[in-house]
Amino acid sequence: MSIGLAIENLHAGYGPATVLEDVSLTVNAGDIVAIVGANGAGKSTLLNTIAGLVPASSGRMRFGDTDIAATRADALPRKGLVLVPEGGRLFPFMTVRENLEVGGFSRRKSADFSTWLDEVMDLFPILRERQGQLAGSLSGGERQMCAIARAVMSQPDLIMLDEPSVGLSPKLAHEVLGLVQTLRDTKDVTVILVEQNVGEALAVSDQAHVLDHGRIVRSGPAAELADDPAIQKAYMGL
Amino acid sequence: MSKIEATELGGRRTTGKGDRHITSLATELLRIAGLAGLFAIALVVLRDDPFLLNILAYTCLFGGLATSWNIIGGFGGQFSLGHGVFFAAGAYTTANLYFHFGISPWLTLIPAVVVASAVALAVSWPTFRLKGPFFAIATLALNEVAFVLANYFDGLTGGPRGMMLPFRAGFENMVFTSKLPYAIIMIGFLLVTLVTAAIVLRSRLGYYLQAVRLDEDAARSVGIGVLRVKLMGMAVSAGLTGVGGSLFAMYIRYVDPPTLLSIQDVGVRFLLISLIGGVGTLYGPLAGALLIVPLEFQLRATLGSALPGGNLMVLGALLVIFALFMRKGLVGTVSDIWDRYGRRRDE
Repeated sequence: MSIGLAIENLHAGYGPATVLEDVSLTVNAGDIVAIVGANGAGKSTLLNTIAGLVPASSGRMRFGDTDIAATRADALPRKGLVLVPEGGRLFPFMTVRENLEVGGFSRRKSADFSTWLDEVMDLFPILRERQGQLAGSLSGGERQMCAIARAVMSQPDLIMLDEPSVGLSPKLAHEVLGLVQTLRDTKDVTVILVEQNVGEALAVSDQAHVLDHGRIVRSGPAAELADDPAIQKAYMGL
Repeated sequence: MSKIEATELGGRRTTGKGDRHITSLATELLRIAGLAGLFAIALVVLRDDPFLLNILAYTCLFGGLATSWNIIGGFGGQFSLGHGVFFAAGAYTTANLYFHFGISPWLTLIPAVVVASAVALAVSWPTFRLKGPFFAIATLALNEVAFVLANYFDGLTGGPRGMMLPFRAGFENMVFTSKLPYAIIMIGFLLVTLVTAAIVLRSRLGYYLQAVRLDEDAARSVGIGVLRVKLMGMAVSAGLTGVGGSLFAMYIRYVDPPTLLSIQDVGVRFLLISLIGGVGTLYGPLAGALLIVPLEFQLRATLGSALPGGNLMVLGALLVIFALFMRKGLVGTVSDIWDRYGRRRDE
């Protein structure tokens, strides 16, 4: 069963520049939660802070029994919390298969590693075909698939996706976001999805939060936000 | 639920083609055994020629040292210029234990590994917080600090006068009248470093080191303890370098700071050989040593008197040529050409 995430009064930033101000949100286990907002609103900073890559200046973050702020970034995947960084950040001179293997090494149960690799490749059949190729030679969509698969290899309870559709054609973006739903349904993971592609993101999500200048300005069920004329006007160009 | 098909992703369907072939550890060990055979033949051919045996011994010693450096410098991408310190740590450990306590140099190899690795961990723990060129410069400074310390603590190092190790021929003292046993020892060292590097490369540590080299933040986000991985790679690399230092000390039977801690002859040499041979590849450092070490002996012999420092000018020019035109070194360039030729043949 997946585990939920609770963030209370989080402040974070880079040196003297505060990016996140008093962010509080709860993510229920099994949900897909969208975090949307304009450029520079602090969406990526929020994910990177949860992943431990940006230090929080104050506030509490709990993931199940784990106090995130007190845990080193590299220990979080073992606790079931994993980030897919913006652009995928694959290891370009390693093969697709090696990328996936590195993703899975931190996994808690290590007995049936190859079975698990097989299962993940079933979910992403394209990666099975490409497994011997260098990750740097993949197309944009494949690269994003591979990055998500690498994160899934660590058997996460919660997976955070930083703009998985960036740089993809609308059709590919749709495919990738569709896959996020597949992932939640088949692997029983909770998903936090950061997107600028607000319409698509809200369509696949259960809950959503709107981030503006480092503050959460709207929260609610994704469908409700998608129907809100103010949101449509500000973020969806309708 | 929908599964994404290859064609929808706009990629090429190139199953099999363009795949990078990953050699298994067993194959790699077989190749190293083949190399051992070649070196055995070289030994038989050169057995009566002390001049060439000396070159063979140095080539294998520096091939092994560059292979050791390559574990953290190549696989892990941490361009250490401070490996001379670990080299000296091994040399001084063996020299002291042999000179003062009469312990067989063979037995001192174990403390040499321990001391070199311990020194490496102690100096790497702070310096690994620096990245790229900053790390390289910090390690270069280490080398200079060690030079000053080695001159100062003459109880341990013999100071600037150095330590002359007594000539007591015998297997147990690792002192021989002929060059042949030394060449065999250095070949053994080279093979040990190659086997270690092959095992590291195909182990979890090897994957982690490469991931850290390629993208530290991404490595951290998939759960790799970056600092710990660097330290482990450094410990293995420095331990082997320490063994090289011990063997070197017993070969020339004299240790002093300018010999052990010279930047151009030791500190930067491992990196230079690896760069020219192919940094990050298993056999690159050996290829570099096979080219550079005999070339240097030849240059010293021919240019040494006529044009002092001429050998360094040639080496410098060589490094520039490799940096401009063969950035992957000998091994990387050859394997690229091989791949291109192989692919053309397939089509």
